[in-house]
Amino acid sequence: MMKTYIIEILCALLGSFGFSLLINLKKEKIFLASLGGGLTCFFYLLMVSQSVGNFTAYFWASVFATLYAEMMARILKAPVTIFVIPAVVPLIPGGSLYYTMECLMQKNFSMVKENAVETALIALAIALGITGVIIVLDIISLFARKQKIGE
Amino acid sequence: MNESIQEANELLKTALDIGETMLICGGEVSRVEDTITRICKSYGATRVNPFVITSSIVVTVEFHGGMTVTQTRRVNASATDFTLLEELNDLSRYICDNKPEILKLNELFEQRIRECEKKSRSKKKLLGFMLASASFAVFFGGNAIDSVIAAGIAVLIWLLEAYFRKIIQNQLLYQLFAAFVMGASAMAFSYSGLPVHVDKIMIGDIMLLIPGLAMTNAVRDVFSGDTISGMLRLCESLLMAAMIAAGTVSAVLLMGGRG
Repeated sequence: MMKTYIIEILCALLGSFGFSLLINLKKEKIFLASLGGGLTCFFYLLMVSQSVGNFTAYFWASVFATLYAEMMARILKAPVTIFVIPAVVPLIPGGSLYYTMECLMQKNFSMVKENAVETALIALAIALGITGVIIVLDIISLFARKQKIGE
Repeated sequence: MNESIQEANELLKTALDIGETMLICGGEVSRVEDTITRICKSYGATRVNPFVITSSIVVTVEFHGGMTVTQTRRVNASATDFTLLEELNDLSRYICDNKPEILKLNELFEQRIRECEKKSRSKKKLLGFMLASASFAVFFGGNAIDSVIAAGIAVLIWLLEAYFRKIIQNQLLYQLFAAFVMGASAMAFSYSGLPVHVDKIMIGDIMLLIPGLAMTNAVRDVFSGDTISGMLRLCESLLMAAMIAAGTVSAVLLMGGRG
């Protein structure tokens, strides 16, 4: 069990690394960006091991990924998107998207429904995670600005 | 007055060049609007009204004395390149801080682009394609052979992107074609007698085609108030996902898969 986890995290790390090359990240940022993917996968597995629901696990993992990206972007003074993509990539529901298709071909409609719903839910969880962080950070920076003006 | 209108036009042209390239590279709409506004304001514009969606940019700039300048751009390319995006981000910051002469702006912009193009981009991309597909094939439960085959097909996808993208102008058709080629070659390996999982190979390669960046940017656009561009991007990426599905499914069915 432990071994599959480690393989999965390593693959997520390498996959994010591949994506960082693909979107042509700057050299000095590639390491931190792909680390984000590995950490996100680790965090996701951690949530899964706490036996929370699938939706919750994806939501918190995407919150983690976005927070990581925002942090890195602020530290390295780079656009946030640069770090969001490699960090979120391991969460993309490529698997359930494919199985939706496969079940459709096999005319196994109950499985089509199951897989399609799962794909949509994962996508929703990721989107919610990303926007949740953006909204909270916006509110925080709004308050920070107000306080500055107040001083 | 004539001269200043000329200068204003030149300024706006460069601002638009920078904004357009950022949009093509994968920048968010709000970032592009912000960049254009900042550049124009640092040269004394009193009001900047940018309207940016993924396929076009419209900007009207007002200067003191009631002079206004408007320019439009049609944008119909997309080639994610975050190095260039960062360089341009940097350039716009430099322009705002140092306010170089307007006539020299274009030269600065072209210099940055040339610097980025010098670096060998396509080899890096090939490596990225292979690495990403190989690791995601294993990530979703494939074995070592699956990952090698996925990487092999990734080379094919890279070749398509390098040589066929120019021929098939329509993004959706290109996506359909790429997914079909990917599905067909993965299916071919199912007859090879090797212990392969065709599904894992395809998932690994599908990850390369999925418009992940467009989808994330769509979500970001919608929630930063750019509803129209967000919706455009969302529709585009959903259509692309449908094309990927259609291409793969037809390849599997035509190759005599479990239909």
